Amino acid sequence: MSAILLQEIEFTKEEVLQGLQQYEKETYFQIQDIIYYPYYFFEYQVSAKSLLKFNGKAACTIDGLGGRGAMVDVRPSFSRKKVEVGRFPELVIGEEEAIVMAERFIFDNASSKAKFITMPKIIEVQRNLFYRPFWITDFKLDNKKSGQLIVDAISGSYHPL
Amino acid sequence: MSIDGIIFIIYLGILLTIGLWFSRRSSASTEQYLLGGRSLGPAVTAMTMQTTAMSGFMFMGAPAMAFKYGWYAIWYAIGDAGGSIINLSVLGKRMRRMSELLGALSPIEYLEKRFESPSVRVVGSIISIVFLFGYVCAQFIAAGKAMSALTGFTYELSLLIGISVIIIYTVAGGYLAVAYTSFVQGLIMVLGVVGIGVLAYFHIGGLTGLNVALKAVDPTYLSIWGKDLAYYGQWGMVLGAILIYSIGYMGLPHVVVRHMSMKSTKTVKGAVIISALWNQFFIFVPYILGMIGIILLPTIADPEMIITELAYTLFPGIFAALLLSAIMSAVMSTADSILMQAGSILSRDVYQRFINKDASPKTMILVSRLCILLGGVVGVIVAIYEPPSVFALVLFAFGTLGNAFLVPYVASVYSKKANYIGCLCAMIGGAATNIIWTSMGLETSTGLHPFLAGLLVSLLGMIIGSRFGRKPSDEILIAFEQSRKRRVFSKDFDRNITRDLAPEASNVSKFLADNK
Repeated sequence: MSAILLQEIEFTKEEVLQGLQQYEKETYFQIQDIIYYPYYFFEYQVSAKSLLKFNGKAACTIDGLGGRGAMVDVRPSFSRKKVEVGRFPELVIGEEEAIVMAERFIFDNASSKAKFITMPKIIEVQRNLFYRPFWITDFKLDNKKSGQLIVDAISGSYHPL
Repeated sequence: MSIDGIIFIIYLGILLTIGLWFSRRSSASTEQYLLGGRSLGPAVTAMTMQTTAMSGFMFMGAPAMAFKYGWYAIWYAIGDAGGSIINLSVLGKRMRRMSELLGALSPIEYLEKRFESPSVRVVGSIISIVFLFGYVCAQFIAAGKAMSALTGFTYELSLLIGISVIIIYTVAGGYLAVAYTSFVQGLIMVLGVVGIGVLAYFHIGGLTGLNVALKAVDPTYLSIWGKDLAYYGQWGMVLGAILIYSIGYMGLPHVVVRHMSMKSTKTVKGAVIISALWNQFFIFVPYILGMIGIILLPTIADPEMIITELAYTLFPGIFAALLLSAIMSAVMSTADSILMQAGSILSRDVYQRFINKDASPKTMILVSRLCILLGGVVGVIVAIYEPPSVFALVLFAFGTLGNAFLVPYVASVYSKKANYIGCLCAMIGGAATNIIWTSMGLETSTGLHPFLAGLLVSLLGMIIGSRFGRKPSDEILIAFEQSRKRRVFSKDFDRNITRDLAPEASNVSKFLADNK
């Protein structure tokens, strides 16, 4: 596997299991695998005329599989690594497509919240393709129902599959 | 200009300063500006929700209604008092799950995806734009009247000044500015109206004093059927009056969007409790004040100005000016949200989707701003040349929106069979019935409230229409079943599921299935 840009795991297997077990004491959880989910990261310099001067940076990610945009609260830190273990879903959204989506996303977000009078200037400052780790976790409830969750290894947030 | 007028202008200045201060603070960091909303707690969220929903109607329309009909008007307040709770418990969870599964971001987009037809989006957008602008027009009229009473300027000049303030306010405020000024406005609104209410209440000798005085003027004011028993035995009118504000909210795109954007049920729960409590303090008072107006201001020329007149009768001028500023608060907080909402529906859901798919962002912002301006100009013309009453216009716009969208939204999560033909019939049938019923005054001859008539037609439209056309696809049926599922996990665990991860979860699911 060639080196890729990825986010370092912040919630380890043990921490994730401990966290899940805290909320759901009667359920049996088991980490089954890790998956590296692709995202594009874009950072822009945004400036526009409003009643007040509006000038600053804004960043977003574009989901490399579904194309959904999300504003970025904290700039993610990446490291370039070769990852032997884990799985990488194939990119569905190409880079050119992602650029268009990101510009539109930032523009829509900025214009709806900042209520610009004129068209804002959006200049790309940084662009990366990176991978975010998600733990794939099996669970078995005491009523014998079972299923899987993804747990974000950076934030610890989770969602059933 | 009187001292009251000057105080009022100062108040507007303070409000604009709050807006600009937050805009300035936020514009120091674009990230803060664009993400400011994530820091809002339940109290500010609740106030923003309520001040947006309540509008100038509560200060002008509601008392005028009570002035005209007496206790009959309370049916509207009863429905309104429970509206937010009913709204959330009926649609809340299911709609949040469904919109999450369909990946819909706006209420109109949600309908298009659930009913699998672009025509649903076109019809939905047109209805919502027309009536949202109607709603805004009512706010303009309220602003003009309030300004005129306070400053002594003519209605036309007041209208122009008031609308200019609204537009500056709409354009100047960022997300935080809007949210925090709404919070301040919400507090002023409730303090203002409750302050006048308490003074007037004791002035008239409480509810007993009010009822005795009303009986002396005309005993039918005390009837649940309205003055002169206008709606005697017409349960269709009573039911419609209760239903319009108790369930009508489920049909308003700018309210429904909150079900879709719930981030944490913790915040939402807190917000709902606060807004429901706020409602109990706020909703009934303007109606009671309307009835007090029958006693204290029997010859008032414009019953929509009862609260204004009562404030001057019961308070010293300076306090009255401050309290009356609350009317402007109500108007501004509603108008700016709706103007922005209507502008974005027109530019994204109509222009970009159907007229110019490759519209550049520059064109989009131009279209959106032109639409807001056009809506404003049309609103001003209507408000100057033929101003309808605030009450009638709000009731009409609210009722038509409710009749158009309530049944489709509810059916989208409760009926497997509901399809796009049913949705189109329900939207068009419901809206058209409300328009015809209101404009032809059919309620008197039929004894049926326009909202109830529209609701019945919309429901029939959904049931009959859904028998025709293609059935919902398997994908929709699966999403429907999933949205109905009771939670598998414990309450705590379920509450902490991050809804934002739904698209990732769905993609990972597909990937794992493909790589088994």
